[in-house]
Amino acid sequence: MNCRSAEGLYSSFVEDELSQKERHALESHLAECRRCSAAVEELRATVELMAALPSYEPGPHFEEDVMDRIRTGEALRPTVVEWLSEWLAPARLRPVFLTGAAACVAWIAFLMVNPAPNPMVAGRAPSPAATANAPSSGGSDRVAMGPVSTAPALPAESETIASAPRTERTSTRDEAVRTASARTESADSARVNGAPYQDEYILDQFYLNRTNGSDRTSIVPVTGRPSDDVYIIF
Amino acid sequence: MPIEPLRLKKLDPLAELSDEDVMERCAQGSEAAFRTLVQRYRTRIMNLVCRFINDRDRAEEIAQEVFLRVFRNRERYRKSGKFSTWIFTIAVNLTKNEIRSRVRHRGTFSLDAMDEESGGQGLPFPDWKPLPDQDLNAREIQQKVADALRKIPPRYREAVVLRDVEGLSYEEVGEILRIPGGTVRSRINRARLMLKERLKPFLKLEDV
Repeated sequence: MNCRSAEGLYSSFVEDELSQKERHALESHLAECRRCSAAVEELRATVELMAALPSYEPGPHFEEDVMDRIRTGEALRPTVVEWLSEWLAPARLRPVFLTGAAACVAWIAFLMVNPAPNPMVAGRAPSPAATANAPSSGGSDRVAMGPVSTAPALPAESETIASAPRTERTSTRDEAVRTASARTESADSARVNGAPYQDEYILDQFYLNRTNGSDRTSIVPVTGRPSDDVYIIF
Repeated sequence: MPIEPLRLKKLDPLAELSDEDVMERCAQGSEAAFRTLVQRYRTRIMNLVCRFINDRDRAEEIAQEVFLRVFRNRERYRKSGKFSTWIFTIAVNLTKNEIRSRVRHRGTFSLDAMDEESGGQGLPFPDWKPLPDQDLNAREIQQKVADALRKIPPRYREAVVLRDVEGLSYEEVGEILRIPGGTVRSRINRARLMLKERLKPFLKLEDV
């Protein structure tokens, strides 16, 4: 043991808190090192002096001052930190967390029971009445207006690429979802047969329409909103 | 021989109770229990805060605030923990807030600046009673110890004050300062070494 490592053990030695092995090693060092031996005695004396320091007494009215501040209500005013810690106490937050956790579990269970390809789109589908009116309204319905009005503006090639089901699909969102499901099924069946994918969904808002035997591909919106009237022809 | 009448001593029912039990009574609304805690701890809290910030008037205000917080949070106290650890934690936190506030307003917290405020003599020595001549030397040495304590860095000072002045265990010191046991021992040893170096001339006088 050298002086530096011995120095770290002075306090524990003075308070008799060293293990037997450490004590033996330090005592061997102290027997040889007069400087460390003197330092230990000085440290021991320092500790004794610290313990002998007189106390600062509070004023004679300390207790009554405290009680007065309680009676005036000063002690009852919580600090900002206390107020926040009270509001954010685990006991108070637990019901909120439990409610949130229950909602998450319910939502996950719902998704597992109803594995719809796009539940958000299905949830936003218009009522059957609006769907039925859509083709005959001639563009009065905002939902049905977009694809119907923009479809003629597409180039002739894209019309030929877009098959009959696509035209039906663009009339209403319900039909779009149904057709999309059908396309997914057809794609699955094509996958089983070894054929390439017919189409793929992109971000649940568009689908990628590929045609067998052709290098032409188009991105077609699933919904019928005007903002989705984007057709990209490859 | 006349028989003396039996004198019944009026016993304080709280006097025999532990701090934790008294605090439990306090949480149940007993003012007497709260007063008992104030009486038991006022000197220790005042002493602790004084050793930390070296400003007697402000230390008394902070010590009062410590007890107000004990009263305010009496229902949140858990009997499983030691009352002394709880109240010393409150005192240390309030003192640290005070030091932070001073640093913010002055740019730095300097005990030398505190010395200037008190005329370069530091805090007046707490023992105001007249001492016999043979104790004058001891009193001078105590003043030197107090001065040396004020000169060491706060993080070492708080550890060594809690241990050597307040007599708390290493575990309690670690819990109050929220530092692991190894760090507590290291800081206390380091603080004692610093104090030893500052007090060396007086320690020699003591030996003689």
